[in-house]
Amino acid sequence: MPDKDIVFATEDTYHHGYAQKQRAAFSREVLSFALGGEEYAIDILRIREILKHRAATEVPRAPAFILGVIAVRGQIIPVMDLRLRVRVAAAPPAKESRILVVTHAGEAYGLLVDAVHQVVRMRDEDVEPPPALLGGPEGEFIAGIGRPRPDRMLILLNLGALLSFTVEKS
Amino acid sequence: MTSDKAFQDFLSEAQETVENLNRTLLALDAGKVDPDLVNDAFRAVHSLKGLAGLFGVGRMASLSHTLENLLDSLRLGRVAVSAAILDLLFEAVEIYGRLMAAVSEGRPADSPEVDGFVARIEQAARAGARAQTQKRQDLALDPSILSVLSEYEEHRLRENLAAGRTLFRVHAAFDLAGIDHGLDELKARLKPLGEVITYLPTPDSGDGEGIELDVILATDAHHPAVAGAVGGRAEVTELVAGRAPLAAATGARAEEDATLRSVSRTVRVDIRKLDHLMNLVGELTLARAGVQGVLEDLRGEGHLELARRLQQESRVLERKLDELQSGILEVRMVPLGQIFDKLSRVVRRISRDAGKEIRLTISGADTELDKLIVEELSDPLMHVIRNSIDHGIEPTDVRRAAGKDETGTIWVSAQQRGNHVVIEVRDDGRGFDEDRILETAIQRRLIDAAQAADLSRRELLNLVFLPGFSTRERASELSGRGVGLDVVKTNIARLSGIIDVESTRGKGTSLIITLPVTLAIIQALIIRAAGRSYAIPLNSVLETITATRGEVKTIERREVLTVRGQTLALARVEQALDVARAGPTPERMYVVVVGLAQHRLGLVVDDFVGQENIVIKSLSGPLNAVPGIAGATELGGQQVVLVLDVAALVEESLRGEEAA
Amino acid sequence: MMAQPRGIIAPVPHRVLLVEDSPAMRSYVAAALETDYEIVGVESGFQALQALPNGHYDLVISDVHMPDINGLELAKFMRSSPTYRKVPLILISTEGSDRDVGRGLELGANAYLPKPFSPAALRELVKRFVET
Repeated sequence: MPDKDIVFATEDTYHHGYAQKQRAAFSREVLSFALGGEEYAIDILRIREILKHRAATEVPRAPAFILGVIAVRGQIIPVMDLRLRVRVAAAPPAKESRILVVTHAGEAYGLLVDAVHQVVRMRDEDVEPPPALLGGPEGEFIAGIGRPRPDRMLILLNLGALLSFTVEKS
Repeated sequence: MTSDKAFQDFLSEAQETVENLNRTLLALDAGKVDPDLVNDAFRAVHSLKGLAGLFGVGRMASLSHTLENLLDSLRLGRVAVSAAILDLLFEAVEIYGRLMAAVSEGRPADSPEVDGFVARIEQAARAGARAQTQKRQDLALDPSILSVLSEYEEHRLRENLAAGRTLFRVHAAFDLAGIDHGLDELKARLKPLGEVITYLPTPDSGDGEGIELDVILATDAHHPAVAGAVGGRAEVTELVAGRAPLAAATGARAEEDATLRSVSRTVRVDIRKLDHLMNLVGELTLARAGVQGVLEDLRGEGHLELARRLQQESRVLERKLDELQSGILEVRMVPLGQIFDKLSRVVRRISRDAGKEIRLTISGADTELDKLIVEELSDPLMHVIRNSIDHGIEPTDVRRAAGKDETGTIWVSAQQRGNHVVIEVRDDGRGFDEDRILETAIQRRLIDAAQAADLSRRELLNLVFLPGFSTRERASELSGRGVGLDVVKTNIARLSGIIDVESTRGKGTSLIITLPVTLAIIQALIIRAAGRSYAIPLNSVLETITATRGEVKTIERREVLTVRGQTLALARVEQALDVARAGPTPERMYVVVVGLAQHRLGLVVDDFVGQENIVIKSLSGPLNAVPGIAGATELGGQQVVLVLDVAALVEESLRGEEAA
Repeated sequence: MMAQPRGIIAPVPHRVLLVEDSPAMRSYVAAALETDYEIVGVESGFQALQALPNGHYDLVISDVHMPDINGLELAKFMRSSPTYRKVPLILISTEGSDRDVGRGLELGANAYLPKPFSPAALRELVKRFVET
């Protein structure tokens, strides 16, 4: 059953980025996306697919940033509103909103983002450690700052931190 | 170099071999020492040794090596088979189990207990060694026959001759194509007469299309009896005359031999493959729902003829999907006998340790359950039995004084009732002491004195399932690592099962476990509450009733409903789950009465939507731990519905009761 | 049957009859040899008797300890048959049954390989009887 939601291969920008021959100097590839006016990115190897936004079934006692669960090819996965998770002002999903299906510790999760940009290749030296002043609860979600070009800044997210949360016990 | 496939084969074969070994030991334990059984046990550890060696599982190889020496001595009659040695062999089966569990999980199989165990085996072999009285006298037998006998076969030959049996050569000719069948038939005819020492094939003197076979048979029967048994199809020659009187040949073994044939018509399948197939069926069902949608559209647009034809095809598809689904479910089913075998072993060992005489009676071992349930059932069942041995069955002197049979009995029975399997573990022991249960429950503050006065007998007995309840100060070593019946109950509830207890002081106790036949696909009631849909597994639904708001009473801040004179505690689904409701609760209420063991709870919902066959999927990550939610399922049109965890909701309501 | 399907252009591989009642042991031996030989696995001495006339075999590898017809009996059978007398026979068995191994060699088995053996040792031995 082909899933019409998969735009992974047809998304022009992504396709363009992916089709270019990878040169050895570029040691990592990340997928960049928009969230509250900033550009964020996640390691491409962690991304399984990209879905159009769809309504989730709410799960009681889950944290507010968990929108609920959706079914993807017979699997039930939780969807997280990334805006709420990284404490960017909430906004309703729009036409460009996408759910990134990522894998972590053998399980799949969906992350709702504003829009998907492209695959960006970077050298190791393009990545800076997270700025020290960015402490607080949000700081832990940031794995580093990517600067593929002097005029471009990507906030690289730490999936492990994003996805560790607990639920209320009655 | 060792391929993954070969390693998987190793694991499953080793597993099967250990299971066979266990069965052989149980048979040996049950009856007299049958040389065939001892040889079967020897062959089992012999192949385990070879396998473990090839696949580099050193501990398993050294364990097998020691056992092989012991069993070789047993089968060659150098060491006598004794209860102590059988105990050691049963212990070996358990150690094999642990070693294989480690290997299959990728952990190193370096159980330090093996070394100590090996030393004990060696000691037992020395202690049991028999003086060698057998003289290595020369056998008056054709050396061409002697030369092909393995050491064991030669030993059996000497034993039989020493017992005064007659040795016959049965010469038969077979077509190549029919040799398997022909041989089985010949075996079935010869085995009741005595022991077949060996089969010697010789090339056909003729055209090479056949095989001639010499069967060497040791028997108490005389020539005419043997010739009669094989009919005209074989030529019988006496090789060595025996000294035995004419004995009637017994037919006792003919039946078991008849079952030898078809055993290899099976395949082993990884249960995950079946899960995958089941998921595919689920997806096909959703696809069919899509077809149904198209059909409605066609009808709406006036294409009635097309719609009718599509409807017909869709019905066929639905029927076949149902068949496919039940076919896959059937493949997942395994007989409970798999764990019952283990139980007899535990009963044997524990009753001996406890110094009690216990007889285990099993019925319904062929009752089938989903493989995964059977696996999860093993521990709780084991615990219930240990409990019976430890606390239920009285010591022999107490039983004698009470005028009871000195040997206690534990009955384990299983039977299918509709979509459920009921397993009962009953003993004829002392039964629960109700006064002591009450006393303990009050002392542990599980209930207070006022509540105690109101308890029905049934409620009183069920106190034993409460967490923290144990009628003994110190959990005895026998009843297993301080685990109480509450854990048994939790384990059973996790399998969507319920457990109930009946007991009569002085007469015995009975624990009744009711389980769904499968968890892979279940029937569920789809309900709506506070604007959302939920699924409730039908196997825990007792009935559905309707009521009006006016009929609901409040007792100690809890809503209750009187149903047929009984008070039923209510729980509103949205409140139980902490979900916000927009607007007032409707005047007309729907109540789903659910049961978990002896407890009943009425779940108040807004509406019933219908019944569906669902596949429950667990939620990933931290969401797996949401109280009250067992998982989720997909209903079609990408709609995901949460499945309520009835056991958790009932438990929560009970806690609320205690707090009130 | 564990034989791998082969293309018709490839040279016909040598065929080895493997007589072993343990499926895992059959897999192990097959895994060691199947890239160079066509392996036909059977699970008993009787099946070996049925298989032998139904195809040409360049080598027979047999376990010693099997129920009913053991490896020794198979050895004696092969050596007394005009048809199979020349087919090389390797016996495999767990070490420790020296007496039975000695008998096997007396009865005409060409070699004896004690378990456990490495795939390399097996290939080495097989190569001595079957040229690839």
